[in-house]
Amino acid sequence: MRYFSLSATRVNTERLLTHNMLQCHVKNCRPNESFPLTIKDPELERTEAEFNPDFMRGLVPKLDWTALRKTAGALGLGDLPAEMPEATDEFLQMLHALVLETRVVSGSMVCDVCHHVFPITNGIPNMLLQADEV
Amino acid sequence: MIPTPDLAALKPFLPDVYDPAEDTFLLLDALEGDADALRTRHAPSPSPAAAETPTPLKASTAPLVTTPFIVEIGPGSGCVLAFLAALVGCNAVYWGVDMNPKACAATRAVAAANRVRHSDVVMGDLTAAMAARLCGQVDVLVFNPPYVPTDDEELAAAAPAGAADSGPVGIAAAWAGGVAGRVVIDRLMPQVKALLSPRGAFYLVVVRENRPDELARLAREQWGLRPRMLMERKAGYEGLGVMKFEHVSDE
Repeated sequence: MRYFSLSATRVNTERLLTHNMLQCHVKNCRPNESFPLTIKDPELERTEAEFNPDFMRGLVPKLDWTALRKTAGALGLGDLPAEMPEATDEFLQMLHALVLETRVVSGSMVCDVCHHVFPITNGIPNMLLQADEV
Repeated sequence: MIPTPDLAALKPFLPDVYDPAEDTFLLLDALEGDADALRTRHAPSPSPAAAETPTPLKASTAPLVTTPFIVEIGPGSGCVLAFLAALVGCNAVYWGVDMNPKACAATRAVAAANRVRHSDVVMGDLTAAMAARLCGQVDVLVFNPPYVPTDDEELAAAAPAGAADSGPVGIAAAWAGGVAGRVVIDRLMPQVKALLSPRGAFYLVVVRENRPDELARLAREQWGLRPRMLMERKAGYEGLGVMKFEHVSDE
């Protein structure tokens, strides 16, 4: 898999793992349709983390593969197969780099259904809504 | 004994973030007292079939141990999150969700200073933005809520619904709890059962004014959870407690 070299940093900014857990929650929106949120104008970075195959194997069933595949493709981080491959060490290493080591420092996440923009500032996604949106 | 996390990284965020106090320390003690349950929660469940099979099972058919998801709502300083990481270990994913942007930054700083390996912070209202994806996946949920009884106006000023348009949420959201200090607690409780994994547990700090007996009754009758008072302590005028809620077992 093609992988971009990203600058290293020390702070805990939003991982793609966390992005895989976030959905639009604006009142009357259709979160399943808009998932995953589209990342716009991202500044990405890469942090080294120790690889643990058992940790990754246990993480696999908790991920949404389709959403991860879409996001990785949109960010130019690689073309993942439509079906999740077998959990070989090589695959788990790739997944580790993608969901644990790739972080969004700044940018925004946009809902494709209601067009709400959730900003990411200093690596922290802001999921708070306005009063008329809850 | 697990030491209290290093909180030097918290200094720049005070007084805009809740400084760990008696309620925090009671929660740390209660979590440590429940360490065995927290640590073994994620061990593979013994499969009855495996016990009866004469030949050892292939690795691929062994029960999978899913990576624990640990979520703290309103981490404030990040003290409890860092403590949990020391208690449960680094092979879990930790999330802190807070409305207060300074609490988000503080949690991140304290987690980093205490070498929590896999932790992320989300600015949000309870688990709203994560509830669907975390459904049935949260192994440990922790909340030291704003439990102080206040009037509704004080609560609305501290943590308005739709917090995005009223400027950053400040320190008052850490304590203002509305009527009986229960408004925020009661907003979360109906969602807890759905969030928890089959082995999941929810730890909640309460004060006497929150009527823990009523919370326990509602847990059984309405929220589908098995309640237990884990630890109680009197701190000044506050009668503090930590309650634990789990799925009702089928037995």
